[in-house]
Amino acid sequence: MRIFHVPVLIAAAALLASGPASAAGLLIADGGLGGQLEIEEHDVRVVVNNGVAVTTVTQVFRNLENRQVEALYVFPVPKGASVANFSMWIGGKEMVGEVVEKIRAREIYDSYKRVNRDPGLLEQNDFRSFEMRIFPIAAGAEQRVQVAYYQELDWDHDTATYVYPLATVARPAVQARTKGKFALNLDVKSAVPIVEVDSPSHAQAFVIAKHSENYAQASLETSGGDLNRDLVLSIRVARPRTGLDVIASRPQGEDGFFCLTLTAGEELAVLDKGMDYVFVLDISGSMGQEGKLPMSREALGAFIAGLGDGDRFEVMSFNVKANPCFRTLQPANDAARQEGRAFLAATAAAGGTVLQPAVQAAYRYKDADRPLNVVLLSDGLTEQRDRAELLQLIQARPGGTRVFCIGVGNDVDKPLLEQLAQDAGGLAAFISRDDNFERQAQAFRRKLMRPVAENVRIEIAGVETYDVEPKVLPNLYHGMPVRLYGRYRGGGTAKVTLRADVGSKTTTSTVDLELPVKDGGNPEIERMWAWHRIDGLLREADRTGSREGAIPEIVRLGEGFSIVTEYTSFLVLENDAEYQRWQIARRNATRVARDRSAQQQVAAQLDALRKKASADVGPAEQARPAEAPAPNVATPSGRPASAPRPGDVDFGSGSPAPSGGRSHGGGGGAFDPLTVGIAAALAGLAIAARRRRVESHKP
Amino acid sequence: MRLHENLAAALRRLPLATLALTATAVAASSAAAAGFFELTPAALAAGESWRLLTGHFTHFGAEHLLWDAAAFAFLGTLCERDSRPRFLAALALAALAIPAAILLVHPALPSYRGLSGLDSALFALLTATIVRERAAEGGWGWVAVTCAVFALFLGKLVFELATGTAFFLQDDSAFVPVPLAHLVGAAAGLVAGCWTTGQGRVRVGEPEAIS
Repeated sequence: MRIFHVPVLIAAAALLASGPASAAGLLIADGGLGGQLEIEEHDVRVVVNNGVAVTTVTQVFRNLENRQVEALYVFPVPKGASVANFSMWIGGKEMVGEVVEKIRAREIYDSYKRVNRDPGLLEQNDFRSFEMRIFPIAAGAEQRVQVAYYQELDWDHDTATYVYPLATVARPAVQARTKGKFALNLDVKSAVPIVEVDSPSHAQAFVIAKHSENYAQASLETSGGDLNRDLVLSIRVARPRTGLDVIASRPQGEDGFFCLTLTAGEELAVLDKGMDYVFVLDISGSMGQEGKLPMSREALGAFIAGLGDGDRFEVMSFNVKANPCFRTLQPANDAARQEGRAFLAATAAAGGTVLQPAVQAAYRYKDADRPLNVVLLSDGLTEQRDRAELLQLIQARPGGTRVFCIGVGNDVDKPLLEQLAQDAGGLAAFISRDDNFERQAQAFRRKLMRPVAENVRIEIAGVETYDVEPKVLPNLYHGMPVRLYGRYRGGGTAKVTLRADVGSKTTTSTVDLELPVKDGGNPEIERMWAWHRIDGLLREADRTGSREGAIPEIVRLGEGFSIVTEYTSFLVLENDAEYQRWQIARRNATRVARDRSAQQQVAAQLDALRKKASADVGPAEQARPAEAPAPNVATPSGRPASAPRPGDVDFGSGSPAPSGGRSHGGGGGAFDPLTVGIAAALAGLAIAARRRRVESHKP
Repeated sequence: MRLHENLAAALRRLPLATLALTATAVAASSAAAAGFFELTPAALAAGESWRLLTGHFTHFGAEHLLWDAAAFAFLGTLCERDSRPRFLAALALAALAIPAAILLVHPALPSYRGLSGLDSALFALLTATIVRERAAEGGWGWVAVTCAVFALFLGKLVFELATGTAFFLQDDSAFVPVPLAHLVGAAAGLVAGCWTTGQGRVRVGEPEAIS
């Protein structure tokens, strides 16, 4: 009898780094201590729908040893990903796991262990990877497993980066080479026009095709490929004007799900004025591990080098106390930069992490007439009990101050740093050892210099919406879209009103967006909504200091949407009868079946798009002899790049708005009734004057 | 022969340019056409320079078009009947100066539409015409009343510029008013109105006796 064994760890919700995390799924004999089972087939299918990536990894392993083995399946979960499904094939039949409340899942698991019939159990223990023991795998037998996970891609410079982690760190001795086929197919759907898709890591190996402005495809296939280098794909989009895009999903018999994306357009001007920066570097003992401190020094050096002439800065290190370099803000000149670098070079990792004194010290640098940016470089490994106090401190920051958090290394408390940054009107970024720090610094500075809007508020009328996440929207930065998830009843045309503070003015803009009454074709956003809802509940609970009240709803959402959390676990039982015995509803099995059906429909739509695009390929003269050249750089749809799109809004910029605080998508000259009345009076005068002149010239 | 002469005289009296331009504004009022012809900095950067001129003839909606086009029709008729070259000169000057000023002062404005900048040019041109002609004949009362009406117009412009609000424009209207366009248009109209070359008095529809 086949037995899945032991627990496992991990991850679903969060973490780490675009850098090496650990190899793509590996099956290692003898509970992870023995030889690796050969990877016969490794198939990765990715659908990126408006920044939400769904990765389905199917792997076939073969036990080449002449004995039955117990193996450990190890799989890395990328930063910010949520495991949506785990399937194993037993006797040729796929067994789909279910998410169950954590304590109950553990009880069920223990009851099997007592009789040596262990199920598979996935628990979230930390942020890194998950492991599952599988037993037995007969000599020469093959083992097929499938993992699916969802993630929101990181955006920067209007570019979403997708990383399929292959580099191995956790188990460097493991040979990560596939004997059979390795294939990765990526479909990109985007409401915002796609500019290009490319692969910085495997430019030559990928075949990339852009079929329309809203759909592109990339694929790579190899045999006997080396799996020790991350696959990276970049998807660049551009919205000519600031605007809102919506995608929706409407399961049969349920309320709908929507995802609104607010993207800063090209029309926004650079806010070209000096700012103050206080760089706060964590030098606690934990920063001495995995080269985090040297990495932080290098990154900070790049940030300081990238400061502009009008900027001023201070550098501060901290562990249990804060140690400033200058004790005052220094103009960003060569001498100050050099002194700052020398200060950084002299730092050494020691002591605990107490963020509060450092953050308070940084606030004291606030100058009344200049914006202050506090840039915190840390692994964020502060004590849980300190979190509530720290969050209060962030919320009590002086006006005109933003806090930016840069997570360093792979062992980073991403949720805490993100929450700190979001609460402080800033943003979080994460660096790992293989990053290009100069590029990171430039990108970061660009965001600082181009804050498009603060206090962004979105109101939806015309269609009833609820459970919208996040409750408070983050600031809108150039190159980084803001997303709002929620549910809706009914459907139809929704009037979406945006309000935001741009510079010293509040702007308002209203656009009409369509929420479908049925279908919608974007099932990916359902889980992402639930994931954000859980995240929002956890954040709110942490803010109040108690999670107790939030746990029942988190469990309900976790079980309903198959999301592994701190309070829910993935359980894989042997067969359907076992699920029935434990009265575990097959929600995930149903959802997986529905998702697959939806994916097939999407695949058919994409196939139609590909065919249409292929049909357009050919000599232009023969295909369209009568057509004149386009008057502008045209998108594949024939629309000029600058042409208005549905959902365009005027969100202002650093430049003065033409009138008051209103901003409604464009400006215009307007003769109102009063002006027309004055003009009519003048016209009357003109006519009377002419008559008089004519009469005076009559003989 | 008499019929032919009457027809030719009637045609001369018709403000053809005003009619044609008003018709153009109506024709460009559809959303698709407006999107293609409106003035946007992004499109200009992409080489679509025609938008400098065509943007004036696009509008954000029926109400916007109605008031702008109505004012253009009757102000244009009066100005064109007075002097077609001066009328066209005022329009050309305003049509170029308004986008230039908007791009300079409001570079972040995503788009500009509307005839009212040109309406303002015609308003100022008509004012200048009445003042010039009545002053030449000693009609100072006419001059004073005309200047008072123009002051009313200017006062409204200054109010809009100072407060950033516009009369009769609701908060949920589809666009923001750009008083600068009116101011620049009025300036262009005054310049054209003061243009006295001595040969520009081709009066459309003026009784033969006057010339």
